[in-house]
Amino acid sequence: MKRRTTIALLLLALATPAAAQQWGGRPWQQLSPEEQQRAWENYQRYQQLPQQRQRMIERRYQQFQAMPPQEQQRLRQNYEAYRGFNPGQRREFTEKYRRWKSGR
Amino acid sequence: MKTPGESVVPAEAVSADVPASAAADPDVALMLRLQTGDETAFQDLFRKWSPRVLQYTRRFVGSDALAEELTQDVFVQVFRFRNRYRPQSRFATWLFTIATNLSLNELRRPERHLRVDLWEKTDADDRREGPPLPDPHAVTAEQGASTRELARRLEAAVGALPPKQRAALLLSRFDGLAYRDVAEALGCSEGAVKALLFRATQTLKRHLHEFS
Amino acid sequence: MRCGRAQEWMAAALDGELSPRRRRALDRHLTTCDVCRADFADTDRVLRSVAALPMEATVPTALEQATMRRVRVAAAEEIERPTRWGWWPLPVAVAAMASVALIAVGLVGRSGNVDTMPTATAPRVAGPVATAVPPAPPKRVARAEGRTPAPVPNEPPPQLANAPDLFMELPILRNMEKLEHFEAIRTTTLDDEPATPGGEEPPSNG
Repeated sequence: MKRRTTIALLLLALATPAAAQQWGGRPWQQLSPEEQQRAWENYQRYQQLPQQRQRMIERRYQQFQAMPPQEQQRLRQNYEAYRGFNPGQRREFTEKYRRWKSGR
Repeated sequence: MKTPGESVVPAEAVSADVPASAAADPDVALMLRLQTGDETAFQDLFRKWSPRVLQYTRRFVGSDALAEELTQDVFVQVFRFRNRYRPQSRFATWLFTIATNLSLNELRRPERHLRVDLWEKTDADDRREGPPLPDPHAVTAEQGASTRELARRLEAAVGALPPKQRAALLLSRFDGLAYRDVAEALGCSEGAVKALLFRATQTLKRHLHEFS
Repeated sequence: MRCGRAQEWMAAALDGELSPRRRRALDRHLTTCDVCRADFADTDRVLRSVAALPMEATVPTALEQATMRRVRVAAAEEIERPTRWGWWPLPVAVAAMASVALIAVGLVGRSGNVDTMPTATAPRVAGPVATAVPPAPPKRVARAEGRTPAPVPNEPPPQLANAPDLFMELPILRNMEKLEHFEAIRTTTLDDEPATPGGEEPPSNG
């Protein structure tokens, strides 16, 4: 009985917001309304991905969390730079990515 | 060596979620205003901080023109990422995190070229291609010749430091930036900041000894 | 205390970043070691000299003007397409509503209520930029009518509640390799055309 209670308490601990600590990052309540909306919409997109892709993204998130903040910021800035591309620049970037990848 | 922080922000300008320590930072109020859509807040931040950012990036990339491009980039990122700023961090820390990242990115590029501002009419009178470091305007006219020479050599020595040592040294000389702020800007621990500063000062001392 | 350790602590001591216990230990060492005392004075001189270097540069007028232009363009882009997550656009109802709101009101502010439609947050930009934002084309509005984004549930699913930042960063995670090697990819050349058939030399540029 005591063992069951201990296990139940452990499971409860895992299910609480402390579980967020396992993933790192902020708790849900700390996001702004806009951020919550954005996260929710991305969550719906994520749900549509095959399970294998979902696992890959989770692995990448752990890699991302392990990066120094400076490196995380660099990736965000690169993403913002990409967002600033016009369609022609995006096509060019995609072509260059294929070329770069084939040369690795 | 460090001076106290600046005056307290008026209470009405600070939201209830802002920690008391952040309330003492007037730039926090400007960022909160920017987050609600106030363009004048952005201009105020730019006018206050761009001289430092420009000098900082200049010491990284060694070119006035490139430093000006980077300074633009820094403030455009401040605008784009304005909603990511959290008042738990000093604004200066956040600003120089962006400046350091962009400067280090620039140093990593295999080639550097000027980005053309497609919306700007080129005005040769307004854009100066300044000399590479050391900056001859860095020393006042009143200083003696040997002091000017010292400053010139010091600038060169600082410019020759490895980028992270240079960043740690320059950031830690800014008023009000503690080692924990420098650590946050560089994405490393306070212990690492101390180690970077130790190595940087050892190198600079050697240069000064050679000079004297 | 060894001299090596004392030297490591000098800069931190001068910056007031050494703990009181370590500072006392360093001070005790300095009273007994001439070499370290001289070194401490040198470190002080170096740090003061660096601090005395000009920390501010004169900002050319053109730099401020160019920066403000870029920021206004960025603000206008936010209103045209307020959010683009991943490499695909969000439901355009948000863009359409934001554009209309900007033109009608002249200011788009942030809503504090999670149940309302998010609006783009943009500064009060100068008149020319606001009027330069084109109205949403009719076909976009028609397409948007059946596709309003679902509101955030009051109780988010556990996976979302436990790792909201994972979903915030989803576009970056999906494209991590491209973003990690962004500069290298950007500087990859596409100029190495294959030789023309028949072994002829391609035309020279020089």
